[in-house]
Amino acid sequence: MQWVVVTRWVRTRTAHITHGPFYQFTQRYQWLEILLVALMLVGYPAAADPGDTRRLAMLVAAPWAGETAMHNDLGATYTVLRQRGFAPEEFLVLEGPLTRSLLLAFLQDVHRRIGAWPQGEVWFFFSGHGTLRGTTAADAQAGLLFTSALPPLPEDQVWWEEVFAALQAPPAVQVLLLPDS
Amino acid sequence: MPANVVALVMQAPAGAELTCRARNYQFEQQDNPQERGVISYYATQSLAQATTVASWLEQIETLAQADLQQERLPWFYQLSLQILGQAATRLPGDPMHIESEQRR
Repeated sequence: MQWVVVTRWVRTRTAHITHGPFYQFTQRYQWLEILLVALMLVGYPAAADPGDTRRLAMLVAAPWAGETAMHNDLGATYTVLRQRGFAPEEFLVLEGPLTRSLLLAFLQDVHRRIGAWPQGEVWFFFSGHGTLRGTTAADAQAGLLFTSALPPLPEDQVWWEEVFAALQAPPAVQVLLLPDS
Repeated sequence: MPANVVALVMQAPAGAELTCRARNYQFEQQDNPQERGVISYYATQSLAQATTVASWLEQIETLAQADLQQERLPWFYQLSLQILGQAATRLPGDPMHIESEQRR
């Protein structure tokens, strides 16, 4: 499993939820310490690996300051997907105070991983906050909002159409999306 | 939304104002209160046994409705979800079978 946590210390977690009680570890996590920025997933193969299972679970949690629900959601989703047979190495997790740049870079990395798949399945879970633009249901566009500050800056939001454009899942790759936002 | 995407999303009542409707709630889990997204909570509670997106939604609604009726979930948090895309799409992974089903 690849896990990217966005913190001021730039840290990765790769093994914590594959061994031992997930919640025990996560409850100690101090969200107030989380300030900034970045780690990109690197080194994905550009071409399909012959041993690739062609299945991937992308779990993204984007809490605002002090919120714990998104982290708990992510843990529960991980657990139930493991029960359904997903292997630890089939998960990519992005968690923390996100920005537009971080999420889009994450999605572009995912695209590099799945772009050559002839077929497959991608599970995409997002827990965070949503936003809408438009004046009527007919012209509304939905997006993701990474801050409670008003007005949000462009860097604090991403529209779903941009998410799909960055992901660019091949036509024969089925994407199952569950946005809790 | 691209044709190869199937999504389970909140739906707004006709004529309702445009606003974000996903909410968090403190659920009791093994006697411990835990803050969860309402959608995520019911989605994960029902996912293990679901086979298709349609059956998953059905189980989510059944669980949430039961909690509403038994007042474990306030009505304010009532879910209204819809499927965008092919409802018959098989869910990734293998559904778990509960013991009672296996014995039949």
